[in-house]
Amino acid sequence: MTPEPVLCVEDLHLRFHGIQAIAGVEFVLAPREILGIIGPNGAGKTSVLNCINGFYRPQRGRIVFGGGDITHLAPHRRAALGIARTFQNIALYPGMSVLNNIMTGRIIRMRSGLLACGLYAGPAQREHVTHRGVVEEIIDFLEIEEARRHLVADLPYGIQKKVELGRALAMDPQVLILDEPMAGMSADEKSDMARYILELKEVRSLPMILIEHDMGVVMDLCDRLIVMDYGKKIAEGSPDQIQRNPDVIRAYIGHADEGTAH
Amino acid sequence: MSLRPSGDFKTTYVQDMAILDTRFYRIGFGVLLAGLVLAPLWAGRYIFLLNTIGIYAVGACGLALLTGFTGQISLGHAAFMAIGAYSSAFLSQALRLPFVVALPVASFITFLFGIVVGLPSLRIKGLYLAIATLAFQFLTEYALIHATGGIGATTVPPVSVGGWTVRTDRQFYYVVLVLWVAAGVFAANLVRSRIGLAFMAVRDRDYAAQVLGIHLLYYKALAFGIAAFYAGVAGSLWAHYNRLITTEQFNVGASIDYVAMIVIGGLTSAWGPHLGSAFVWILSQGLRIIAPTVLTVFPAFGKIATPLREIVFGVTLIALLIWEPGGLAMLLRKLKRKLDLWPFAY
Ligand SMILES: Nc1ncnc2c1ncn2[C@@H]1O[C@H](COP(=O)(O)OP(=O)(O)OP(=O)(O)O)[C@@H](O)[C@H]1O
Ligand SMILES: [Mg+2]
Repeated sequence: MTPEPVLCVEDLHLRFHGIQAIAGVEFVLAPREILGIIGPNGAGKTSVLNCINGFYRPQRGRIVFGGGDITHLAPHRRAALGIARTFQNIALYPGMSVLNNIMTGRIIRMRSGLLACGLYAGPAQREHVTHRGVVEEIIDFLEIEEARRHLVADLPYGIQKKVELGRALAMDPQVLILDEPMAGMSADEKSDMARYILELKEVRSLPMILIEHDMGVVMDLCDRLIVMDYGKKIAEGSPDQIQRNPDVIRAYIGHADEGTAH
Repeated sequence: MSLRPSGDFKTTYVQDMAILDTRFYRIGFGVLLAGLVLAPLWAGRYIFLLNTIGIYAVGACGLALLTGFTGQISLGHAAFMAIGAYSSAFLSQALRLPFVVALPVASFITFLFGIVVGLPSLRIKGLYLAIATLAFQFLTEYALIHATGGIGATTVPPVSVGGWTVRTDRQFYYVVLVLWVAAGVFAANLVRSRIGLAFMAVRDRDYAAQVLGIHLLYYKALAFGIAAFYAGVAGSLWAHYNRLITTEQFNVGASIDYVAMIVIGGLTSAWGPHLGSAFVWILSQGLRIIAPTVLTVFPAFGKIATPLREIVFGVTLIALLIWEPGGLAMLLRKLKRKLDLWPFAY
């Protein structure tokens, strides 16, 4: 018997004026699994994530998370259910410190009301201290202690990517969705990031969806892959199977001729 | 600079998150507070100026939460002040409610108006929000003139607390001071709490805030509500202080004064609104004092004397935006850093 999946995407269709961004994609994410989504630029990978976290409303299809249909929920409700994500183009809060950026991930776990927040001393302060402890653990885990007080806008790209992962982790998510977490990173930074991802899987048993263009990384990290091209899922299987799949090779070569593949 | 090895994390975090985080600031705050408590001894006839500064600082605290921390522009802040003032006048005049009841109730009424005005801010952003709040400003002035039978003016009974009636500026000053300090501390606490973090997340990148589970509409409306509540407190104080209120006291010029205060003071500093209110009112008063003298020396000065206040604010605003967008609060912080190094400026 296969375990109950964490997330099911069924028959997803998404259209923007004239562009069929997603055309009938379906997949499931199993517990503890790292599922990779690969495909050439413009294949519709990010659009699938945007449907999962609620930024885009698909014209057809269903998304089931934790046993419930979330297709029509607002983005913040899905986040509260435990869906966390990072962005292809970093989406941190530039005017805030690293500490506060990661702290924002804890907002949904904090309960202090308006009055308690304004009086601060007492319950709100105790709560803040507890959550600060969680944030410090994440900062240690990501090895960004030195950057703690810096404004994120002043930090190098690789560290910003780490902070964004930290902010998503601070939510204590049930599933983590990473949109190109290693894009633009140095080899060292990539191997750090790969290490964090594996540790999250091993220690926290956190299921993940990973979009990444670096094939070496994808093949190493992912348990299973789906391949997208022109909004369609063209293949699905283990990294080994995918590497030998002629359709996949064709899709990539076709795009390489256009000079768009990474 | 790791905090980890220092043993007792809890105390470390508490200290780390304190508003007055160094001994310098704690002593400085103590001295400031003592100076303010003793103000009737040194301020002389200028106690009225402190009253005005305090009342407007309360209102400015609210606008700083809304604009500085949540990123929502409002050109209708004085309209909220007016709602607080007229509600308070009605509650204490027509319903004979005592000040200690009228002020919170009037402020709560203003809070509700703030929520309603904040609702469209989910769709209306930036410049359009500025225009929408400006429309609210004019609408409120118009409505209040009609509500008062076309006069726009109404009288307010004096404050009396537990049988003690406040008669003089000096007595009223303590009413202002208590609420001024409470409002300032509450706002400073709020911005470091869960709610303040959510406000800043909404300000810096709204879609990334949603992904963290932050309900945009809820927090934007809440920010408008809190800002309005502060304006309501300020309006209620103003009404009971002046005893005669007119819509002109809360016109669009006053709304723009509020914006000037928070920008000049520093948009994202807990001290900003207080410094801004002090700057605006001390400067206004200063200009009023020197104007007649200057006029006798340079009669040509008469041509610019009237708009002089606006000119000086405009120039200050532009200068700060160019050289120190952090406002007076940031200027003081830098000055303090220089003093730390003095006399060994290495
Ligand atoms: N908000 C939008 N409005 C219009 N078209 C969009 C929008 N978002 C995506 N698209 C289009 O949908 C298609 C899929 O885009 P998507 O960003 O999902 O691709 P991707 O696989 O993530 O590509 P990349 O590898 O470059 O990130 C593209 O043709 C894109 O132009
Ligand atoms: Mg993409």
